[in-house]
Amino acid sequence: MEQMIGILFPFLIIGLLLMLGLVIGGANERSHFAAIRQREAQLSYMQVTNLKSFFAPVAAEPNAQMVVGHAVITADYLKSFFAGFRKLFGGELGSFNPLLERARREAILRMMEEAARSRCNAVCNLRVEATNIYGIQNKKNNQMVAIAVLASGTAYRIETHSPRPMAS
Amino acid sequence: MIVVNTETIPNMRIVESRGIVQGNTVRAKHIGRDIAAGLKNLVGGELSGYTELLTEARRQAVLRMMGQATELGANAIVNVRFSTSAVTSGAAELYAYGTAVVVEPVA
Repeated sequence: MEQMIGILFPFLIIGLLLMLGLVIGGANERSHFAAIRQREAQLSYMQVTNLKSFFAPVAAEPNAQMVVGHAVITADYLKSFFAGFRKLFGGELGSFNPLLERARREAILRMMEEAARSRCNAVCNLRVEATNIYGIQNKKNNQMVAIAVLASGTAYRIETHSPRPMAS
Repeated sequence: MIVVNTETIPNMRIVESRGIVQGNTVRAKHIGRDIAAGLKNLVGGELSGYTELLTEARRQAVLRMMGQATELGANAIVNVRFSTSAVTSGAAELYAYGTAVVVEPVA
């Protein structure tokens, strides 16, 4: 009997960690997505483009300025486990898709919030960049995944009153 | 100093270019944060310690870049780009670069 427990113990631990990922990680993700959707709705007036030029006539005040948003999101144990399993067969690592989406949308939102704080209502030349900050050392045991996303852009205020031609 | 990542600045005219300016920094958090991050890796979610780390690093890199631009006598930096890389686990390099220019307001 004791031997049985000894054999089963590692499986129990893994099972527990998987449950932890499923329950807490899942709840975390759902609430995060809900928060992201709500904040995106609040900022829906903001015109964000990745064009290099200013899309609309630019107001003199406030000055155009660079805005940046960061987010570092980590995978839960369940996601890493599925990904490790998936690597045996190849194909899309579906469990990581929502993770990257969360990190990107969060970083872009933070950037937009920074723009909103300085009374801007548009962002152009949006750039999004992602790296796995655990990626290098943990080559052998690549269980740890943390996506760091950096979003940057130029915030400005669209001039609504004067009928000036479009700024270049 | 005006810092933008577009090629032009609205309501300003670029008079002179002073060349590329850059700033970089490599930062790491203490081991406690790394352990906390390892635990967080089981349940998923945001690693706010690392977000903070990147924010500080970015600020530092931009400041260094602005310092260089000031030395060159520029009053704005255009076309700023960032690049991040993981040097080792738990340490992040942040590199910012742009073109230092002299601008004057459009009359």
